[in-house]
Amino acid sequence: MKRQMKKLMALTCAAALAVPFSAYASEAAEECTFTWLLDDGVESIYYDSYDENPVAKYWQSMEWDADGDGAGEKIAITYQVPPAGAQGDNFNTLLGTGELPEIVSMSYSSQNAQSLYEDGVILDLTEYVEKYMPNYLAWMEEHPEKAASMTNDGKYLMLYNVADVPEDPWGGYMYRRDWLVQYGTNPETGEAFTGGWNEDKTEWTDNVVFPSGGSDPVYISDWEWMLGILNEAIEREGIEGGYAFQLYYTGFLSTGDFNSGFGTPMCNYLDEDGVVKNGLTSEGARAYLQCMNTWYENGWINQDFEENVSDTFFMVDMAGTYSGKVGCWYGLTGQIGNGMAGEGMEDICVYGAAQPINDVYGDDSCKGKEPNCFFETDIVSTGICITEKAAEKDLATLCTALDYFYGSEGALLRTYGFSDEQQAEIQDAYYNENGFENGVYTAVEEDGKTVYQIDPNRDALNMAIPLNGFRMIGMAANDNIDWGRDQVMQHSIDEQKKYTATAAVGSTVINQMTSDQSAEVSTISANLMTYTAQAIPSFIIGRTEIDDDAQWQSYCDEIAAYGIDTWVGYLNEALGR
Amino acid sequence: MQKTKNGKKSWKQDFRKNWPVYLMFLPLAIYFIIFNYIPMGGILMAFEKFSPSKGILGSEWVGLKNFVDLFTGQAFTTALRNTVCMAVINLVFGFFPPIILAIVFSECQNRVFRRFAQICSYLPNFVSAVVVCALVTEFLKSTGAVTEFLTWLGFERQNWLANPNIPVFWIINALIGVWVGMGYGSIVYTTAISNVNNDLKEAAALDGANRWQRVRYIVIPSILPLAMMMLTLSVGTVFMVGWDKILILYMPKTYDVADVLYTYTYRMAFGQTVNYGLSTASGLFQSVVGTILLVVSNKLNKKATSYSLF
Amino acid sequence: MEKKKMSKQEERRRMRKIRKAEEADKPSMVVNGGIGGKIANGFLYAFLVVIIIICVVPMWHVLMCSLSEGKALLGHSGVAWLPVGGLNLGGYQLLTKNTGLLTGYLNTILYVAGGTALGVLMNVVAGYVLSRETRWKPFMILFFVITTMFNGGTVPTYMVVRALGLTGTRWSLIIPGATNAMFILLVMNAFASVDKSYVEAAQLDGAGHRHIMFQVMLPQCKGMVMVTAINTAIMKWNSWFEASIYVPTQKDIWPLQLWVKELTQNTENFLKVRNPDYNQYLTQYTVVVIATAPILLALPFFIKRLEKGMVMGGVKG
Repeated sequence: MKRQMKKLMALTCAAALAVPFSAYASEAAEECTFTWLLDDGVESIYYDSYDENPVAKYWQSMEWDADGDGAGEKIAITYQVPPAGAQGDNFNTLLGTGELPEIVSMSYSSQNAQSLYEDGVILDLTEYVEKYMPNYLAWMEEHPEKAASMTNDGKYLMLYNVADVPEDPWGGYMYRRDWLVQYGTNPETGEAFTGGWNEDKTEWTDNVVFPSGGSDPVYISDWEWMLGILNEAIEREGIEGGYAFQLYYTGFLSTGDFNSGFGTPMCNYLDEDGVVKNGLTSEGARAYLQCMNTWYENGWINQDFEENVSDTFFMVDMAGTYSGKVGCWYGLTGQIGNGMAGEGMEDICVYGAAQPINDVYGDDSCKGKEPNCFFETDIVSTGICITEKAAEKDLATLCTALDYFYGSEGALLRTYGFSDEQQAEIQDAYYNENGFENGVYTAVEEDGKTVYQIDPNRDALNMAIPLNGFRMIGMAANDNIDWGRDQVMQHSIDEQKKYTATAAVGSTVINQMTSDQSAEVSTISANLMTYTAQAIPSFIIGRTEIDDDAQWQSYCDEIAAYGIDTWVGYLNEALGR
Repeated sequence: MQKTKNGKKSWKQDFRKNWPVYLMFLPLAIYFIIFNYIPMGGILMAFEKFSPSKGILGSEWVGLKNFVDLFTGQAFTTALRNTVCMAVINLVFGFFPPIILAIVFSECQNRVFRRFAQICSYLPNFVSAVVVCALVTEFLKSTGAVTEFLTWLGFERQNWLANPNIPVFWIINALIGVWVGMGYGSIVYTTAISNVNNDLKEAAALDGANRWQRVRYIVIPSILPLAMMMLTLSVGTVFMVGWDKILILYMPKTYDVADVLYTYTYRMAFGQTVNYGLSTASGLFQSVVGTILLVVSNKLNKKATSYSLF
Repeated sequence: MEKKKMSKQEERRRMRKIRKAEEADKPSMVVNGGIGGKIANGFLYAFLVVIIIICVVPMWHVLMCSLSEGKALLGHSGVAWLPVGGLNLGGYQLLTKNTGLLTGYLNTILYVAGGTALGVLMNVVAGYVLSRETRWKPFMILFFVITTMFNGGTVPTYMVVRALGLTGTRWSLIIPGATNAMFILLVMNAFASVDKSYVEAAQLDGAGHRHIMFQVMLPQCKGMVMVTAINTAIMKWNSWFEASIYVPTQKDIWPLQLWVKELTQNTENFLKVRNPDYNQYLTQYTVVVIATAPILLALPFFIKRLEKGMVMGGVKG
């Protein structure tokens, strides 16, 4: 009996081990079958494999006639999605063993496109792009300032993800509008403000006026006025551990953001002439630090900001923020309006704010400049490369098929999913199962142009990614979208995207550096990060004096010693390629 | 046949007698060669400007450049000092608690309670570093539970994790290690103690030895060889001070005391591009130091307790 | 057949009685009476209670967080002694959508069982080999010890596993990492402390190596072998990195912990949309609870076995 059981167990184990993983069956021709390494899949909570993605399935059912012989060809893809958090390791093992699939997403690559090409891993796609990708070329033609750095010495090595207009921010500066109303007074007349939510909390009305005259903060002087009120609110409400302004632990954001309103952002940026510069030691940086130092001494900033090291910059001290202890912070879209309402703070109202323009600190060169450098607003981002393995395959058809996602119809499909009309025709089962029988968006005519209304359930159920085809490359269709946002949300997002990041150095430029250069830059930036994370909070807290020329000079010398000029030099060189 | 002076047989004789033993060793040797020794070829990366696409054999040979970069880096000396100090503290803190816990377990007469306590002591081992660190941060912040206790003891109220004075962070780090590893480490000793001959214990009890004397003269000597082996082994690996928690817990303010070779290398090597050469060089350096420590401690051990690992 | 069963049951009952008697007996023999003993006992229990509390806190925190209300939890700082913002099972409900967790369970059980079996076999053989007085013994020990010091990193190991044709299969999660030098040395230590007279007696009876190893020595070292078994099992249960490298895209053979890893990444993404579903914040806690509960339930069984193994045989002091 026992022995039989053992045998049975052994057999079961053997059988379980022998089960092969099923290959993706396809009806496409051999040379149109590709493997594709995606950077991220869908959160596994929705479905296990990207093969189940409705958009991917639909795209693979379409036929492409690249050679113009009238006979269409289908594309079949086997997607490989590495586990979340292990993408970098996977990329390297695959690269190291020559196992990279035919199409690879480059987000987690440890080597840039240039160096992969030098090592003979990836293909030069120039002939295919020029012949079969009219939509991609059209986009480049429309954006000449970006196009220059999308090719390496004139070669198309990577197909980038692009966008028609910058994506709406998913985060930005937030402040407690309800506190302004409750504790603020009109800077002109001194009268108390009034305002509040309507009955069902969809609309917020108030008569808040900032010193600069508008109803939103624009200048540093507006912000200082605002932070004064927020600070008073915290004091008068007796909130223990509260503070008016939340600062990231490094004391500044290396993407620019707040400090880019001081004339020069504290990172690599493009100046008016399109030359890369670094603002870490600029007068603008000094003005920013003077401002932060003043605020810190006023007690507006979280006094222990440099200790919150484990927080990401858009989620600093979440417990404090969500329990209503913070007046102004860098946060996420979900917090806007009444989003954070909870026990004891039912009537909370959070507004989004644009980055401020400095009008108080430093000399004239630091004042009155619009912020022009911040996080994640670039309309070009990392895309895919095609490896040597696909050299013999039908790249013409593949590129034709991929180019579809760069056209307006394909871009909408990729960014959102099926429209009501498409879903009516396709009757996708996944859409139907999840309550999107009418697609995820509807096209309507408004004022002579087409506007796309997004089903609000998409975001409420957090279904954006499983419904769309965003993990594949293409254009993001961000223009003319009606999100059905309420007034506070729309106003906040409009504020947060008030300025454009014209000075940001895109990822495309980094892809142009040679492998030697990027290795050197990697060391430089690591050293700089370590140093600035210590030096900058020091200035803000006052352990070193920002107004002391000698101390400022020694900071500048230190930064120079780490090789900042080399870094900037390489970037300029890469920009010129 | 000729015999060696300490009575051992010659190699040939030995083989004739023990060949089945060597035969049994063979599959193990193959296993370890395949999964441990062949991958050691990766150590070559320490001497290369490694690029994954060129492979280990194809990458450019740069000699000792990676080591020079490592040793001349801005924070190397601090990181080295911290590593050494933390290693020593971890060794001391990590060695005794599992033994003490095991003795306490073995002295606990109530089986159900003992089992329950044992299982509880393993629990921290199942919680991820992130959660452990979140709790540590919580306990040590200026209003945290541990801080309250320390304040009550007369220390100044502060966020202990942000304390840049020696040796605050070192002790915190070691205590976290004890917290997480104590239960897991005690299981070996618990087993060894319960292997101690019960007759011996009973005889001692009849002789009028009290509990403390029993522990002192029977239990401790009986687990001493095991403890020595564990100590020797941990001396070898202690230099590779665990970095995952430090990486989460340290902050610019405490870089000077909390930066260890791992975190230093991590910052240097895993930037925009990954510098495999540098990280492998750092690993190799730590391995070599660890090996030296292992050999030395084994020698010392042999002298002191006549117990030797190899 | 019937009779056999009966007798077996009876036997079991008898065994239980004997064991109970033993249990009842043993402590009374060793315990010291008197006030001193009582005070010592008091200290002992107090110490253990403190240890229990300290060690239970993190897991308790995770459990309570998993039962909390997402938004309230976001605004909560400190240890969650009770569910924050009221009891909420929404986090667990969210997990029911995921079918991978279930296959992950089964896979993990397979890997734990397979890996532990292989590991224990190797530990026993290695322990025996190293406990024999042979000329090559120091070198063999060194051979194992070196592996604790040097390792080549992820990519070379991956290359070896791939060259063996194991990547993408379940074997890649069973065969590599089944044992390590530490475990082997532990078992060696146990084997070496077995009384030599037993071995010599068996040898005089003409017993072969296999008999001596399994029938004579192993029963006396059960405890330490069990220790390595438990540690291997826990290691295999907790491991996810190997799977993320060797079987990254074969989700049907992923172990449980890789699902945990996958589901606990990017926990903040849900906040980037308006009207977020706050239950998604709980996933990072619920999956940990789900993934740890089984091994916690299995541990008492292991520990019981461990204690049983102990009773056998003596060890030289």
